[in-house]
Amino acid sequence: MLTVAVPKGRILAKLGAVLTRAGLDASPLEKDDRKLERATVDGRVRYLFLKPDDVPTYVEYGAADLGFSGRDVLDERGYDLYRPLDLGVGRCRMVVARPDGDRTIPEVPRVATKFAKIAERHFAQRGVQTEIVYVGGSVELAPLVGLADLIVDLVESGATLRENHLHEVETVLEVGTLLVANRAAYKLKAAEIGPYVDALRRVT
Amino acid sequence: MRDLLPEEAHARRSLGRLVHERMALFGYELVVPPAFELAEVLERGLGALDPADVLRFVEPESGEVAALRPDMTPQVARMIATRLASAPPPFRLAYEGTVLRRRQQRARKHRQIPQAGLELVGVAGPDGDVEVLTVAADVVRAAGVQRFAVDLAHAEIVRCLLHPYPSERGHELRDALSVKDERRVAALAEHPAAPAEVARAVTELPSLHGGTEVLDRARVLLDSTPARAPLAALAALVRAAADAGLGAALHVDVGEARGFAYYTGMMFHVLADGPGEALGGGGRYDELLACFGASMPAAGFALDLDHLAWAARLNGALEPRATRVAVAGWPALGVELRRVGVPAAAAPEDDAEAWARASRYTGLASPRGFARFACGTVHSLPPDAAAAAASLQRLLGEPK
Repeated sequence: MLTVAVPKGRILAKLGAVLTRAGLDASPLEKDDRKLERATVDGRVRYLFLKPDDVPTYVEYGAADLGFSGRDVLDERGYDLYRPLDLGVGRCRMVVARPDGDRTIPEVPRVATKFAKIAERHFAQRGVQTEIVYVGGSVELAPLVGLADLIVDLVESGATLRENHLHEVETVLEVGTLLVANRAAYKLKAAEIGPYVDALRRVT
Repeated sequence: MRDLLPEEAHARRSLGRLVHERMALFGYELVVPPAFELAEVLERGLGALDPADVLRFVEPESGEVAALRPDMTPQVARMIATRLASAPPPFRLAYEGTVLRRRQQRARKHRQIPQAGLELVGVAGPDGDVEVLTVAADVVRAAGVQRFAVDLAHAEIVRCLLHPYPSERGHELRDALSVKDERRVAALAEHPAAPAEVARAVTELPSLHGGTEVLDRARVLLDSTPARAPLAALAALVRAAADAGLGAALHVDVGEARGFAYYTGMMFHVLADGPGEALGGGGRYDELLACFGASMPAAGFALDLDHLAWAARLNGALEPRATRVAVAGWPALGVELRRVGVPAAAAPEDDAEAWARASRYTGLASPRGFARFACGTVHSLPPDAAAAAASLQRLLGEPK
């Protein structure tokens, strides 16, 4: 049996649609119960419902063979996984944003972000020194109250940025949901994983 | 960091001994390198490891930067190039010990890895490769892992294919290939410096793995690229390994990009259910010894003993239990038991049986007889200590 880790939350419905298009049984993803572990009717695939940040951990340890995880989470924490497919869902961008108006940004700006490692790498590559301030959420607030000069965060439509009087400066990373695979299982269970990945590959 | 309590320590020791015995059957002799080494020595042969994963400190006496070994191969290479320089090759050396790595970014943060491995130095090409693969498979089987895969690759394939790309693009491609990110590889493969057939081959690399039938698909794809020769070498190695009895376990990963900067020929991983990562792996590094001043072909592998034990448990291999006798109120019996090689220790006077059970003794011997815990039986013992010891030795079948 194949074990697949899926993120609970807003991306789940979109993933279900992708699985259905690929001809895979998505019914465990559509059920509305509190079970954290649900199998398909034929018993071939077992889905684990996890907090998005935990998906790669389950897969790296081999508790799940495959998983669906955002490129942002993967790049930030550096997991040792295969990432064969980009599923074309959950698309957004990680950007640097600054407050509207003519506020000057200091030589060594303070940057508030949930993605400290990615932000640090991004600015280091450009030779910009920064002070990275880790915040867990509501990042847009940080420049408004003087915690930071810039932010690095995910944007979809940009509405949240606009509402908080911020605008984009540059793109750091194109984010999307990837299929990730445990390195050992990808080889050992190739007979089961292969057809599953092939089915998804055809629709992405 | 973690402790091994008696039972686990015993199992680890037994496994280490078994691994070494199998390697010794092929002529590999044990060497013991020091736990830390000059950083400069280790860094000459860091191989596939990230320099940031090495724990360094300043050695107070010399003021030199030393490092806790992240890998024993460079140390063995140094030994061969210096201490054994006057001996004739080939060298067959085995090692066992703990290596230390920083793994800050991973979900898995284990820093201390119990490792056993070997180096075959002075035997070039397929003969050496097949010997290393054969010993690795033999060790894994002997440890009780019946279901496992040997995932074979060749470092020159990716190296040849990435050669036309400018270095920055080459690095990006290598990173994308090592995580088999198909879309990113496809996006990066198109480049004015890369001939069309190379770009097409690179694009396909992430999916070129599986059973040995993958080689046929690869042959068509790589035929007009510079990777044709190393692919033929890989195919020949697969045939030779199959002839050596590894057939059922063989997998191929034509697009393996991890460690290709270090390895110069075959690379392999041993995979089995359980730990969620490889039990170990190795390959050929013909340029490593030259870094230590003694240019010689070399190949080797190392296994993570924790992972090997884990996989063996899943395969139903029984963990060895030590036979030990607790002796209550009969010091002379303890003396006689040890004389015939049966481990024996004095039990406390109060609650001797409860203590012996809690401490996982095989049984409790006293002038009243021997209570064997696993069977719940009590055997009477002759009153003479030497005769009682002989009777217990027969009963326990120790020593073998």
